[in-house]
Order: sequence, then C-alpha cells, then structure tokens
Amino acid sequence: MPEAAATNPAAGVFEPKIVAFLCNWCSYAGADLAGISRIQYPPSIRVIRVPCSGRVDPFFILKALQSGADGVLVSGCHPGDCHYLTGNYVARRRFAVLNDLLEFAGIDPGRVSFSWVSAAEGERFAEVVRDVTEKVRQLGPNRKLLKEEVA
Amino acid sequence: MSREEQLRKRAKELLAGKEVVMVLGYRAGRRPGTATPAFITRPEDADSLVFDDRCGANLAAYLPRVKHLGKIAVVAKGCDSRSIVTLLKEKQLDRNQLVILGVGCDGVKEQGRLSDSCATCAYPNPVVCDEMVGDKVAERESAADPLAEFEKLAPEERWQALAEEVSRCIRCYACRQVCPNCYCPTCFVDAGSPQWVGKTTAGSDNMMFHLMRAMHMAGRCVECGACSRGCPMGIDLMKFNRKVAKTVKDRFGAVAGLNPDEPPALAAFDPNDKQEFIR
Amino acid sequence: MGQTKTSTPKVGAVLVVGGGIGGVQSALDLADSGYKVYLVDRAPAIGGIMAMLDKTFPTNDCSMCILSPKLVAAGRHKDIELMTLTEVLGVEGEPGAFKVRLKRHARSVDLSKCTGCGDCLTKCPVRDLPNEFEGGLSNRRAIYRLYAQAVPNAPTIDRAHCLKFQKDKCGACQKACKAGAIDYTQQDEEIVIDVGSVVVTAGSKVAPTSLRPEYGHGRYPNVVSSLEFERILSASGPYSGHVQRPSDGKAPKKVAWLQCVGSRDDSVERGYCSAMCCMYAVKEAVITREHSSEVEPTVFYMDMRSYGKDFDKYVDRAEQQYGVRLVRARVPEIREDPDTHNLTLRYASDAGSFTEEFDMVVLSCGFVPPPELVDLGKRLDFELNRYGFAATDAWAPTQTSRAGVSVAGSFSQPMAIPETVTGASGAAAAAEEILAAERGSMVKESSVPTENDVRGEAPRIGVFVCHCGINIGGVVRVPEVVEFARTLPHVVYAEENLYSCSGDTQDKIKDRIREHRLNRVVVASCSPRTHEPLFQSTVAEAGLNPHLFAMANIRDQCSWVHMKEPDKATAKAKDLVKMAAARALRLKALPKVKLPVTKAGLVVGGGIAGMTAALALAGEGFDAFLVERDKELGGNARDIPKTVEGDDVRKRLKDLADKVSAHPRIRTFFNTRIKAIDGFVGNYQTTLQSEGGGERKEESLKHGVVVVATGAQYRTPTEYGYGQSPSIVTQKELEEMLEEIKRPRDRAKPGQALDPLIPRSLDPSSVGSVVMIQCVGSRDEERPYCSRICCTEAVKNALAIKELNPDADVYVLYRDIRTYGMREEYYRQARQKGVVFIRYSPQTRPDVRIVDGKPVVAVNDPILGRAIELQPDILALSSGIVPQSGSEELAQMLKVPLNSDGFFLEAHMKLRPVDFATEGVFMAGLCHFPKFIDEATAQAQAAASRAATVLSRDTLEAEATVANVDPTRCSACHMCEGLCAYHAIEVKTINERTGKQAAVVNEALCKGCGACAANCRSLAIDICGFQAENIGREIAALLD
Repeated sequence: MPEAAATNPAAGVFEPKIVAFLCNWCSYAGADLAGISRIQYPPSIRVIRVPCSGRVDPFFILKALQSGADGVLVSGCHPGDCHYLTGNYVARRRFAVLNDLLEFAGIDPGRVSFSWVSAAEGERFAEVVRDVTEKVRQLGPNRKLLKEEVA
Repeated sequence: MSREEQLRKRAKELLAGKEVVMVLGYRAGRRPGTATPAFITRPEDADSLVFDDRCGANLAAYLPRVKHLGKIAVVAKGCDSRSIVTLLKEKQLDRNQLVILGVGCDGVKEQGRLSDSCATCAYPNPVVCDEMVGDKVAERESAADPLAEFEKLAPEERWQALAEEVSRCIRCYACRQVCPNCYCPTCFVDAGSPQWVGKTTAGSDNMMFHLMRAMHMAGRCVECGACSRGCPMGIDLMKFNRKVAKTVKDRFGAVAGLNPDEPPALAAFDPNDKQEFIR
Repeated sequence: MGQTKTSTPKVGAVLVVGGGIGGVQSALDLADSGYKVYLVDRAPAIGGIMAMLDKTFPTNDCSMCILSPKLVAAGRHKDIELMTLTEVLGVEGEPGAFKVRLKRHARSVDLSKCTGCGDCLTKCPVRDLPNEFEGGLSNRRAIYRLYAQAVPNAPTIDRAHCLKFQKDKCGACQKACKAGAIDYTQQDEEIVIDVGSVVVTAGSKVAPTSLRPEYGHGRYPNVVSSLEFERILSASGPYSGHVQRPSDGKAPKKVAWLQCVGSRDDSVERGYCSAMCCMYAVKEAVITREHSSEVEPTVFYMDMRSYGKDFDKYVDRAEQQYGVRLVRARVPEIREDPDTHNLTLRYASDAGSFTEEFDMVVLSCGFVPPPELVDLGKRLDFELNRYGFAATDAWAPTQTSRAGVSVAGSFSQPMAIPETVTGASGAAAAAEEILAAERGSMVKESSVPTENDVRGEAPRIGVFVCHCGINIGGVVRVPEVVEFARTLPHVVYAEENLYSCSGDTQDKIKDRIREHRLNRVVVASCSPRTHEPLFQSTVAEAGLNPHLFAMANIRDQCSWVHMKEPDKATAKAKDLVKMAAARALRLKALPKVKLPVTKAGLVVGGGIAGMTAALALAGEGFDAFLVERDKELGGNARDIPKTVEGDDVRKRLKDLADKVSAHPRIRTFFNTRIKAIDGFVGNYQTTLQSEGGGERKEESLKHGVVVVATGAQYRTPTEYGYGQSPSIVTQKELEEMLEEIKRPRDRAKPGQALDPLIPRSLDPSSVGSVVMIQCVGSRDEERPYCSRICCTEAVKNALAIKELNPDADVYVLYRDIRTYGMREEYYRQARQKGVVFIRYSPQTRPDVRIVDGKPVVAVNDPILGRAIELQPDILALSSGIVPQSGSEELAQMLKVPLNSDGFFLEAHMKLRPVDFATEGVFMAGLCHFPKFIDEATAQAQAAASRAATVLSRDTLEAEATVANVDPTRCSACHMCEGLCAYHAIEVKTINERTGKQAAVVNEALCKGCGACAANCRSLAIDICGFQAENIGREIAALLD
C-alpha cells in the first residue's frame, strides 16, 4: 500500500533521486494541488517543468539515467486532455518505443515510469510518486547506463 | 535472356534514350564474392551491372546523394524498395524522378552464408516498382521471431549481452554510412549544445549512441541488415533495429516502408494506442 | 453637428455580471479586444459551477484543468478588474453610458496584502461549518477559501460564524498572517462605476431537490444531488475522489440516476427541459465506472437527449463499453431502509413493473433561475420569461429587452458549457458593437522600461528565497538554502524574503537587480504556474527581459508535501535552487515577435450565420468580405417558412439580407468560391473566383481572420419509400405544403408550388391523417449523430396540422423526443392536442409498404405491446442534416480538421467552441453541427467576438516561447509537420539558389509545446524557454 512508503521512517533507507518531467498544464498542476492539499509524499523527486509531455525528448530520460538519476518519471495530461491538443498522443508513441527498448536492453522495469496525472489529481500525483519511489527503492541505486561505468 | 542480361539491356535503353541520367545498381567488387554499388551514367558501362546474392548494399542509401543529378533508375530488392518508400514518406525523394527496376531477391549471402536479416525477410519482392526485371521470387513463410530467444533472458543477462556487444563499438559510424535512414546534415552524435552523447567509446557513451540510433529507426527501419553487415566490429545492430520495429508493429500496427501514403509511425498517433506501460 | 440634444460621451468599459465560465469568456474577449472590464461576482472567487465539476462530457476532460488557466488569465489581465463579493444594485443611463451601483461586501482580508499562503486557514478554531462548495459533504472554517485553485486566491471571513465578529474573541487568523492582510475593520461599501455596456452571465442554479420531496434528499443520506455527486467524483472533493456513500463511507455497488428532477415537470412550474442533464448523468455514470469497475450504474430517464456533437456516440459507448444501464422509466418515489440506508426504487418500464434496491441515488437536477437572480433581472430592469430566465429573441439571442444589456449562458435558458461560452463571446460582440468607437479608450498602457541588452555579459545571477510566512520557512531551513545558493556558480547575490511576492519585496528585487547588475534572477518560492508572470513583470520593470528569470518551487512541491521531514525538504530545496540556477545560466532574452494585422475578416457562406457574423464584424468596426457561392443570401433558411415559436423566417431573413447589403463595411460576393487561401492569423490572402454573365473573374483579398459559415444540407431520404409515392414527403416539404394551405386563397397559386409532388387540394380537412418518422438517416451506423432539429420540426408541423384540422390524426414515430430547452413546451402542447407519439428502437424500425400508391406504415406500439398498422394520407420523413458539400476542400485549404461525421471540428469541444486550433480561423452555424437559428446566430456573433481579439490589434505579439529551427541541422524530413497540431511548422525551400530546404516555424501559430523538437532526430529544433541545453544543464546540476 502507498501509505507504507509514505511513512517509511527508517534512517538509512535508500533515498533515491528521481528526475520527474511534468507537463505544465496537468501534471505540474496536479503536483501543485498535492501541495495545496498538504498531501505528503517522499522527498525523492526533482521536478523539471516542461510545456507538454510531448516536449520530453528520449535524450532527457537517458541523460538523467546516465548522469546518475536512480529513476525517471514522465507525467502528462490524460489522453484527450492535452493543452496542446495532441502532444501527449504523439509523446505516447515515442515513450512506448523507448519503454520497450529500455526493457529489452535490460534496464530494470521501474527505473523509468510514465503516468498521466490531471490538474485535479493531487492525491493521485502523490500516489504515483510513492509508487515510483518504492519501486526504485527496491531496485536500489541505478548502476546501468552510468557515465562512469557500464555495469 | 538471364535476369542480369535483361537488367543490362534495360539500363542501356534508359540511358541511351535519356530517360534517366544514371542507373544505380551493383557491379562486382574488387574482392571476389562481393558486389558494390555501381553508378552507371553511360550506356556502354551498363554491361558491368550484376545482380545476384552478393548484392547486399541498400541502394536507397545512395539516392539522396545523387538525386540532384536528375532522374535516376535504381535496382531495388524488397528491402531497397521499402527504404525508398521510407524516403518518399520523408519527402527525401521525388517519385517522378525515379525509375524503380524491381528485382526479386532470394537473400544476400555473406561468406557463403545467408545473411541474418535475409533469413527473416518477409518482403523478398519490391513493394513498389515501375517494372520488374526478371520474375518475382516466391514469398516466404514468415520466420520465427528472431528476438524470441534473447527476450527470454533475464534483464540482467540482456543488459550484460548488449553492453558487451556495444563495448566493441569503435564509433566509426559505418552503420550510419550504409543506412538509407541516415541523411541528417549533422548527426546527433556530432552535435554540440547540448551534446547529448559523449564522443568517447568509454563508459555508457556507446550504449547511449546505440539506444538513440535505435530510437531514430523506429517506424523507419526496414531491417535490410546493411548496418550489421557493414559493421567492422561485427556488432549485431539489427538486434536494436528489430526491437523497435517489433514495438512499432505490435503497438501501432505499422510496418516501415510499405505504404508511401501513410505517415511515419512516430509522426502519427491513434487515440487508442496501447498504454499499459503508463499508469 | 449643431444638434440640440447633447449625448453623454460613451465609455469604453463593460460590466460583466457573473464570474462563471460565461463571464470569464466575455471578460477575456472584451479585454483582449481593447475594453476595460469590470468582472463582478457575488462569490468570494470566480469559477461558478464549472469549478465544481469533475469531468466534462463528451471528452471527459478534467473540468478544473481546462477552466483554471482561463480563471488565472482573467485574474491577471491588465484590463480586467475582478470585483468579487460584489452585487449589482442598479443600472441607470443609456447604452454607451451607464452608471452602475455596486455593493462590495467586506472580505475582511486585504487583497493587496494577501499572498494566498493559507497560513490563516489552519488556525481558525471554527471548523465545523458546512462547506457549501462541497455540497455540505465536508466542513470548512470561518475563514475559508472557496476552493483550492480559487481566483483570487485570498480567503474570506464568514462574519456570521467568525468568533471575532460574533463574540469579539479569537483573532487567530490575524496572528497567523505574517503579511498583515487580515483586516477586521473592512466595511461593506457602495460604489458607482461608469460603463458603456453590460453583459449578464449570472448563470442559474441547480433545481432545488425540494421540488421532489418524495425522493428524500436531505432525509436519506445516500440520495445526493448531481452537483454533490460531481464533488464526490472530484479528486479534490470531499472524499478525495473516492466514490463512497455519505451514510457509511462504503463504496456503493448499485448507483441510480433519476433524470428530470425539476425539469419537464409542469406540476412544479418547471415545464422546460434543462438540456444537459441526460449527458451529465451518463457522464457521471461513466466516470463512476472508471473509478471502479464493480459499480453498476443505472440511469432512469424519459428521453435520452444526447442531441449534441458526438453525444450519441458517447451514450453508446457508455452502454456498450462501460456497462451503463439505461432504463426508460420515471421513478415515482424512493424508500429508504433505515438500517442499511439502502434505497428502494419502484418503477414501470416497457418490460414490466419492478422493485429494485440501490446503494446510492443521484438526482439529476435541472437548472432554475433562483430568486436572487430573478431579483437581479429586476434590478437590471429587463424582461424575464415566466420561469424567470432572461427573455430573448431567437434572432438576437444575447439581447435582453433593455438596450445595451446583453445576456449569455444559463441565465437565458439552461445550456451546457459550449453554448454558454459561445453565447458569452456573442454577448461580448454585442457590447463591442455599441462601443466600436470607444475601443482602446480605457485600457492600461503597459509601461515597461527599455530592456538592457545583456548579451555578451557574464551571467550574474541573483537568488531570492522565500519563507512564505511559515509555509516554507516552517519546514525548509531557508537561511541554509540562501547560504548554499551563494556557493553556486555565477550566483553573485542571494537573500531571503518573508514573502517574495509582496509589494515591498518586488521593489527590493528591482533594487537588487540594479545594485548588483544582476542579469539573471532566480526566485525560490511557490508555483511558477501562479507566480511566474508576477516575477517576470518585476524583472521587466527593472530592465531585464522577462525570460531571464527562473523559478524553484520549494513550497507547493517541497515544504508542503514534506512537512515532517525538514532535513530532506531542505536538501531538496537546495537541489531545486541549484537546478534553477543551472537553467538560469543559459537563459536567453527572448524578443517579442510582432506581426502586422489586416483589419478585415473573410466570412465564407451567406446563410444566417454568415450574414450575422459579417454584420457583427462590421458593427465592431472591421471590414467584412462575405462570400456566397449561390446567387443570393439566405442559405438553408430560405426553405423554412416559420420557426416553432412562430417567427416568419423569410421576413427576418430578408431584413437580415437588407442590413447586410446596406452596410458600408460589408462587401458581398455572389456566385463566388474560394480558390485559394494563403497566410496565417492576421495576414491572410485569399483568391476568389466568381462566375457571372458567362465569365470567370478572379480577385485577391487581404484579411486577418476567416469565419467559416458554410452551413450544412438537408439529406434526401433513400428509405421508407421516399420518391415512390407522392404521399411520402420530407418534413420540409410537408411544411411548405401546410404553408400553401394556410396561404390566403387570393394569393395562392394552386398546384404551382406544390405540383407535382404534393397532391393536396387546398382544403385543410383533406389532411386527415399524417404519420411522421423521426431519425430518418440520423443516429444510424452511417450517420451516428443526432440532427438535433428534427424533433422540433416534427412537433412544429404536427401543431400546424392540428391547427388546420383539430380532428386530424397525427402519429410521430420516434426514438427519443429531443425538444430540449424551452422547446419542450411545444412537445407538451402537441401531446395535449392529441398528437400520438409512438416510440420505436433501432431493432423495431417502422416498416413502410406502398399499397395502391399510398404508404402503409407498420410499427410496434410499446404501450399496446403489439404491432399496429397505419394508413396515413401523408407520410412525413424527418430526414437529417448532413455536412455541406465542398467542406473537405475548404478544410484542406484552411488546414483545419473535420470530425468523423464531416462537420468542422473546433479547437476544444467545451471551451473553444467557435475557434479552430489554427489561430485566426473561426466557425459558426451548421458547418459546425446541426443547430437552431438562435444557436447559429449566437455562434456567429461569437465568431465575430473571437475575431475581434485579433482584428482589434495593430500588431500581433507572438508568444516568445516558440520553436525555432537551426536550418543547417535540419534534414527536411517533414516529421515535425505531421506532429504539429497547429500547422505551425512547415518545410520550405529556404535558399532558392541551392534548393536547400528546412523546416520553418510560423511564430504566429506556434504554441511552443515542443512536440516537434522532441521528435527531431538531428536536434535542429529547440523550444525557446525550454531549451534542450537548459534542461540538460538542470539534469546535470542535480546529479553532479
């Protein structure tokens, strides 16, 4: 359950660094709403605001992993809600190819996550962060694709 | 008349009649058992044209480089023709400036052995052509999924295998050179600000390069195998290509290089595209 | 000149009454077109009912996601003055110069000081007041914010319950407020403002459930109103989006919706149909299923009124994909089991009588003007209809009986969001027509100093870290973050602020920029979504380009969500500041791109919509080119003698056409088609091709906008024996025939107009029996949409027949009668006069044979439960509306889309109903979807209002955050073209000599979404403001 992750108290628990690319209009607003509603989630994510999930170049994701991020989250508007009409639809195809390719290459499933979170879904945003954090915690620090060493 | 003779005859006619300025085909290579692209501009040179199982290069790769000369006739196997379709979609070629001389292909041999990519080829005949030279060859049974074995491995094993594979890369970019899809004026590996991919062969730079190269093949690569055959280090580049092609087919129902009127798979979308990987 | 009567000078300001989505749309249109706007709302925040909704049909868009950007835009528009907690007392004067008396209630919070931090909200000891916004399902305090994203964001004190006001005790909120914004001494005040025009968008309220006491709302906890249920569904609602029963918090399994509560009910003086409840109920059922696939939703309805664009498809999907059960039955009452609080419904449907238990019941309440709105109407002194809605005319649907006062939205009649938004824009156009000459006279000039050129300077970054009272500082150790910031590369100055957004800090930031020659500014505080524009204008006032600014969100996304982990929150805040500073390093000054505007509009199509749009454009003071491919104006309406309300359409049409030809600003082209359209918003060039007198002419026009008003066409039926018997006619033909019969004998031309199709003599009694079949060629596989108008047309003709011959037998074979809104009245009349309505389903379509040249109609009567056979004198087919011929060609020329049915597709089905995604192109009338005259007229006015937001400007300022292309890198692969939803990028030959091609961005159209950039293999495209390099630096900074 997500609560377990949220209240994970123990010092010494691996606190991953997760880079989150959030679209300005839905997911970033959803993250703001989580704040306005004081919904607590683990301090693992570092948000990079992008206009649209369609702006997220596969390079951003790979670069984050290469630079040492333990996880990456990409979140945009739900299908049909895109502020730019179809940006998330075209992004979805790109993400699908990348997702399958990374899995194929043996990057642990869960290192890179994708979600749709709307501006009204503060609780959902927190839940996504809890889930993603928990998954990455279980995987441990990222050791693949690092700049320094290739496993 | 043998197929090769027919080919030479048509080439001569096209050049003599000034219907085209060049016939792009194959001639015997310097090393025995190889063939190399031939750029024939004079009717009398047409007799050097060959076509057989040595002719592995994807001739579509050369079209963007010679298209400025005028109308070109090009010899096209199934894979070459599909690459031509990809290039037509991306408006790199003008269909009216091409005469496609289709040839059926029973597969290319490398050192006497059928090339891996040909072993699984589902389109041995041209998907688009103006005229066939010789007969079409028999369609093949669809081969077993060449990735099936690899995909059964544990993620860790896959990572190790691919990491080992790409660690051999010397970044000579021969793969890029022979690929019809690589026509960017500046390749992403050569770009600065931001320099997304390090130019070294150290650490994960090679993996970054190969992953992104594969991303750029999605919906475009026709799995001709020219890159794998062209790699001096024997890296199995096709493994990456096949994966993205498989994703594009399974998820979007699209196969590269079949229909010039369909948009490239990654320049399109369906509101109902599968999204089980998104939560 | 020299006239005796001196008229008062006109005022270039408009009062908009009501801050729901309608008022916000009117206000934005007007302010964007050069008018000062006072936007008045009784509530403490704008947003209206739409702010309470969870999702919107038929796209299931998140309501708040699409509304909130509009609210924010209205809240910070330089020419919109928000006046919340304010009521209109009275309006005096004449169009152009009104004096409005307003009463502004005390908020007890100083808006100029309040930062919206919310510290006060948690300190108030009065915590058990029912939260009205949440339908009383949760509690609020005596100081409260209407809803989380409220605009303005400041809270308000409910004096009736505040201990300070009631007992002169407490004062906790004042103590909590570090900004000193709580002011108990504020008084209600009366103010007078001058405006030239008034737009009333005061909305309506959901019908009180007390209209149907037998449903037990208020007594049975698990019976909720539809609006309460919206809050239950909402992720930000009282149950955080978990669908649960108010009685015990358990997830309900069986949920029922009861339609028409306070609608279609003469017994409670609510005879009209509320027009949107069928759709919202089905939507709520769908969304409930999306929450949990365990739920079994059932909607009890009378007629499924899914008459809008894509509505029928939505309902079909609800049934087939979501398992929503639709039961045609009226439920007389609800009984509650007092132990379980389960609810028992007894009802009779075609299949028999049933008793069924449900866990929860939602009452689909209609819409009514509540007494306070009726009162408002009286104070504004215009006529109301018998239900208390503002009375309007179909041909001027936004005009009240008082000149200069227009109305839009559900204060004129119940209507859904798109019609409200359309009407709101239309009402804005009406206001502009009165004040065309005053445009621009009262708007604020923005006074921004000239920009310092910082190119070539080494980066000098200043960092300002906000405590936000205790909102940030109570968790994050701000001084430590400031110290850390000082160690970052190129940071030359850093300080902490109590409130970075307060007026004095703004001044301080400007001083620091000058003192320390800062050329990049980072503010670490709250969300850039709400505060970036404020800080950007601050740095601009200090001479920096506003894009040399970066924000770190250390409140909403840090201190507020990690309240119990100060160490980690502080570490995260440092990371966020470091990332912002890294991004700031390479920020570039982005110039504003200015493009000229040709102040004229092209209107394509000379029907009612086209003529109205041209007149509205001309009335607003712009030139209009009206292009009609026929030889005369009028369009389809030429074939309609009367509306159901009894309007003489042809006479009104002639009036309209006369006005068009008389207007000096309108140039009309007959027998003319569009040959080519080039250009983009503000700068179109169109080639017209005219035919006349046997010769072809071409003419080229320049204009800034395009209004598509090409209409639609009646479909010629191919079914039910049409064409095989003179007794089988379309509704349109039947109406012509009835007109001919009614025409006075001396002017009648027997046989001429009607022959050969119509065999009637001119004797009314010869129309003895008529059968009408509805949905002919509508709502079927080929055309899965409702043509919207046919039910009303049938009712109109049925009434006309009954008037000619009260003894005539009239049968209407229908699937659902969709006389939505006030048209329900005519349906009721028809039933009263004995018109027989027999329902059929797609499985039991009527069967028509022709015997001896006359139709014989067999149909199953669900009430009798058996097949009956009818042998009418006339069989009238309600054949639907199909898209106009040539739509595809025009769509291609304009690069705008059609939907799958072939109608033009708007930019957004809810909030941009007249805009295309392509800027500068608008639509009106039946080319968008079948609709009535009042709806087409409103949409045409709306198109003119939207157009004015472009044409009123001398130059268009393109957004600075657009894509740009490095042509040397571009491979001209055309991928970006296909990805761009706005057609803003195009591969062109950029060097004629070398033939070099590259993608070129049209900055007027580009929205900066970045879809092109992220898919560009050669990294040739970048997005200003979101440059790949900056994002790369952010990533690197975080992880180094």
